[in-house]
Amino acid sequence: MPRPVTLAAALALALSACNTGFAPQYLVADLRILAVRSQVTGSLAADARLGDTVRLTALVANPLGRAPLRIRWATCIPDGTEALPPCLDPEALRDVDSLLAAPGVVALGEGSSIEVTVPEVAGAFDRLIARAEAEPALACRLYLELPVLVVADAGGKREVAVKRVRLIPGSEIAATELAGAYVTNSNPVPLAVRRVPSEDVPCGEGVPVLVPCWDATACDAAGCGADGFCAAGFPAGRGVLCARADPGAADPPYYQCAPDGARTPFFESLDWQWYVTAGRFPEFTGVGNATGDAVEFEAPAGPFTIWVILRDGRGGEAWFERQVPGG
Amino acid sequence: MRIHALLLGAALAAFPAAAQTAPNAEEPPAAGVLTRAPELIAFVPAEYPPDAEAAGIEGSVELSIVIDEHGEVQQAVVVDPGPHPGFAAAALHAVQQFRFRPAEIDGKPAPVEIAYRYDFVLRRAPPPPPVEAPVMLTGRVIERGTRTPVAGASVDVGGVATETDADGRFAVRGVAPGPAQVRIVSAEHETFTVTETIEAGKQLEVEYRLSRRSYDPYEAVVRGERPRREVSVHTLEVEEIRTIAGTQGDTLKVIQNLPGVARSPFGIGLLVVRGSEPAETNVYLDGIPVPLLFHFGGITSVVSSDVIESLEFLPGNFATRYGRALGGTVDLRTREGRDAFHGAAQLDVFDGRVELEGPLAGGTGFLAVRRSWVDAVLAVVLPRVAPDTANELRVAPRYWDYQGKWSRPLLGGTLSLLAYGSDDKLEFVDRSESSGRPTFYLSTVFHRVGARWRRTIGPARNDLVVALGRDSFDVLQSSNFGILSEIRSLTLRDALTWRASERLTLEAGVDGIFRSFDYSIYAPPLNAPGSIDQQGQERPEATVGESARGSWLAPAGYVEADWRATTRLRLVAGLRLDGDSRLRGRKTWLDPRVSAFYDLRAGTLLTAAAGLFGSAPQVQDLTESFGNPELGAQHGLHLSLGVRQALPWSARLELTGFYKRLWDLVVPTRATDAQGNLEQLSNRGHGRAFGLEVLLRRELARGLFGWLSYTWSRSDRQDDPTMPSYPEWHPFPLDQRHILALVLSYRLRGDWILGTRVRGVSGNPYTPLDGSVYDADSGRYQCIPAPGRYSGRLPGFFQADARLDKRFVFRSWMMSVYVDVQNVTNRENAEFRFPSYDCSQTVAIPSVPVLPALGLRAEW
Repeated sequence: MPRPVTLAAALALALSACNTGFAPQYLVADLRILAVRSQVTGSLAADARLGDTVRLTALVANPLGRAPLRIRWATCIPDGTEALPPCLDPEALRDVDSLLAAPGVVALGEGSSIEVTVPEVAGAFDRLIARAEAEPALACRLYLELPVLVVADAGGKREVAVKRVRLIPGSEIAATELAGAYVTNSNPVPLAVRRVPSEDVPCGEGVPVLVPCWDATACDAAGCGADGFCAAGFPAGRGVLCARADPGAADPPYYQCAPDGARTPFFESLDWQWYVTAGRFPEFTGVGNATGDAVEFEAPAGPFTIWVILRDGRGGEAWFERQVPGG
Repeated sequence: MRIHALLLGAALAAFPAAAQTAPNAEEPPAAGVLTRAPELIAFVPAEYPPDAEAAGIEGSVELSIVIDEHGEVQQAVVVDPGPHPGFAAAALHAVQQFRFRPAEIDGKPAPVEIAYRYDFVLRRAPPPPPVEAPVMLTGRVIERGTRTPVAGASVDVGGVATETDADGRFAVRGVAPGPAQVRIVSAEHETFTVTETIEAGKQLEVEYRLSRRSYDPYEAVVRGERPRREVSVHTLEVEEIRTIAGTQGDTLKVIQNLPGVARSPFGIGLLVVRGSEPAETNVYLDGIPVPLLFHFGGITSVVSSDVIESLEFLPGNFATRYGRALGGTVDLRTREGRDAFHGAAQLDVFDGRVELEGPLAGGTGFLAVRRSWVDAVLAVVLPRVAPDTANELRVAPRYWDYQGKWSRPLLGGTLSLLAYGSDDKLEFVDRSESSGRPTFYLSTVFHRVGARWRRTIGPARNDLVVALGRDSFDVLQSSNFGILSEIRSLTLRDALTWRASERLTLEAGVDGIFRSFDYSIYAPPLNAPGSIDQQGQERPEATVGESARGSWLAPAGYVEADWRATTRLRLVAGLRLDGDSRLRGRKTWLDPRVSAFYDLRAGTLLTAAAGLFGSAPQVQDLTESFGNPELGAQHGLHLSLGVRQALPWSARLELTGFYKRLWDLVVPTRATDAQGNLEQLSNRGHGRAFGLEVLLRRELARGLFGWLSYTWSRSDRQDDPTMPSYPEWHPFPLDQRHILALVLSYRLRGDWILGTRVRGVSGNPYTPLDGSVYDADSGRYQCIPAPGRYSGRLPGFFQADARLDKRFVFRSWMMSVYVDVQNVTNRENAEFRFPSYDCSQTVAIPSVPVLPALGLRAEW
């Protein structure tokens, strides 16, 4: 048992010292899918019940302006078993066109944002619930994953993404011991990104470089811009970007179930990922993306686009996107 | 003037040295220990060549002598003819007439090969000593540095000669008062001269310390050959190999340079033997199975090289006394403690160790303890160079191990009490982890205490091993992954060997292990293998947990017959029955094995072997949540054909062809059961491996030791039928078609040893990438493998290592210093290909750069 683990640790240690010379993931140079959000209409909920209408939105970056941009959506209906669906099978994903035409793959629509109604998966829920009743450890993950494929094509370039939408039972478990074991997830809400000269300066005192606004109250003296963000200039050069989420939108603790059914509460761990079309995150030159709620950023003098994506680790996503003018 | 007493002294001096070591035992059985060195009982003096005598030429002839089990000199070969052309012939002629009391291995007469030095020394004939003259000079001769008594040395005091006894003591009578030159000659030592003043009526007591001609450990190695039951076995005497370059003095790393063993990435300690999984090669220490061979997967072995006497590596077709493996077997034997108090301390780049030994309670014993000091160095250095890392590293990589052994005669046999253990720990805490939970924690511990009792009764010999063990393996990775496991074991191995006749030897044995276990595992759910999943993401709510406790019995029994059918043909046939109470289906399996040895002519041996082998799945493979409790045993067929040819200059050549067929292998599956649950693992994997191994090995002679090993092999696998790669066969992940290793060690004058290791190996296979899919839930891309699994091949690996050892000898102790440099050319060898974030590019991750290491060792 020890050998594979120690091998992996050794490899990880070796990797940590490597400079691969690759372009960093945060630098968006061409067509990319950066995030996909599912949100039940009329709420912040990321999880959907049978019959809910869900809005699926893809954040697609197209800095070269490739055209025409076509975004297609498809899914594989879960059957409640652990068999591998074609939407998550790398062998099938190697030929996406064939996959989209394959039996069992359901087209959902086209466009950067679509609305779909949760399909009938009652039989799958029955199997899921039966297993959870037999194995208490499964009660805390009482959801089905609906794998959603997003295929973005633009000017000969293609990007493919997979998003798992959690489908949760409702009335099926209302009167059982399983109720409440799984805590419904909502999408997080990013509040603001400010720039401070260094980490020693409180974030609240920073320049509101990515702060949504409806009026000037949130923007200090900068005023609210036409793009919906405070109109403060984005200072060129090195500084620290600090991000804050809306605490009012935070989910309550969720649970991990032990084999004996005991529940351990966990708070969501928010993950911020940063993308730009120009500029540099000097701490992230090697393997991996620019992440964290406070990151050093060297802004270019010219125009650029910045995206910051917030994930809650349970399928909830939200983001800011701003085109920063030069100068 | 010929003084044959000196020659006899040289001859006798050679044997106590030989007796201190075990036979090299090119093919001794696993339990073979030199229990008595050969003893010269009929010495024949050599004729001093007249012209050499006239010219006053002195010198030595080095010979290699094979002594058979009857004490006859079977073969004598001149290794170094000495300074005069007549010496070799004279020495050879004399030595061939010697008679010995035969050496004994495990209490039975056995053939051995010894290194022998025949000294030709001129001096005046000693006048006969006065009858009952008073003792004028008495004393003891011991070896400088080791304090070992020098037996059989010739002591000449002013023309009066005597010899030292077994304890190095001597007494000289009748020396005239006044200054007298003392001259001491020993075959293994530099000649010692000193002037003493002898006073009338007084007895002078002295102690002389002789410098050994060479403190090279090779000097005392006895090489012997006994019939083995395996056609492929590589035996290494630790004293021969501890100075091999690139190993930092770690004996066990040398295995990876033997034929049939693939190179491990980054030099970690995986033993990939003839294309089998590393876990399919078992390691025994004094007959007790141990769960791992190296600290942290490869830093250094869990058993100090200081206490290992010999290492046997069986790459396949092993005898029925070994089982539960489809690959090879490593059998380590610890040495006995010496009967005088000695100690050693060593420091190298990774750790420090102390060893003490000596007589104890009617027997002899040793205790060796080692601890890494990497953590201590990091504690001092890291806060200065990397404060953030220092804050996060709660327990730096640290390990320790111990080995203890005590042996004494008991009930007509030899009882040994054994204790071994190893403990590795690493803990890393991320600063963002408010709970203080370790981000990564790894602990691997094992302990063994046991007893071994060996006794020979007439034609029968019994070898009993009983051991208790405790293993624990804990690994935690935040809230995402964790294993806490503990296994307690009781091992019972007993082998009864009966020499029924001159031609037939029978052996029967039991090999049972009882284990009880506790484990708790939590981990993300396992998706179907190869699926697009949320790699590396913490998903506490989805985490699957499993806790269990229980026990199982893995009994085995075997019988084996070793029959010399004709004077040239020897057959070994055996049957092994294994069982495993964990298995839900068929719980037992029967493995017949046969080997044949044919002496084509003197020095040429043909071998052939065939056999079935089986092993139960690994512990984790049988868990409910992360494995498949329905799994059964895995099986393999080993075939091999070989030839072994003795060559001049203490060399030999071995050629071995092998073929291996594996079935019922445990492999990932995408199949689901009737309830829709993923089976995760199945027994539907197949494998095959075949190849040719060449070993050209030179035993130490004239200061040179080493081997050239080359393996051409191919190892393929076929996956479960539900996997996309089925039914195609693909290379095994560590399939290396060409493996070449040259190991050389050369002893120079002045206790210098120069060594090198050069390796050239085919690159490992890898699976090329064919695009990627973005996982929107984690923000990471997942690579899509190309259709041909492991169809790519990394560039070839080449590495040269160098090592220099120097030993300084002081009055009562010695110090050794070594510099061991890995990859002296600083060549960048690719170990694997690492993809860019979107898998559109890959880059080769290089292996170890030039890496010097320094070590210090003191012995007293």
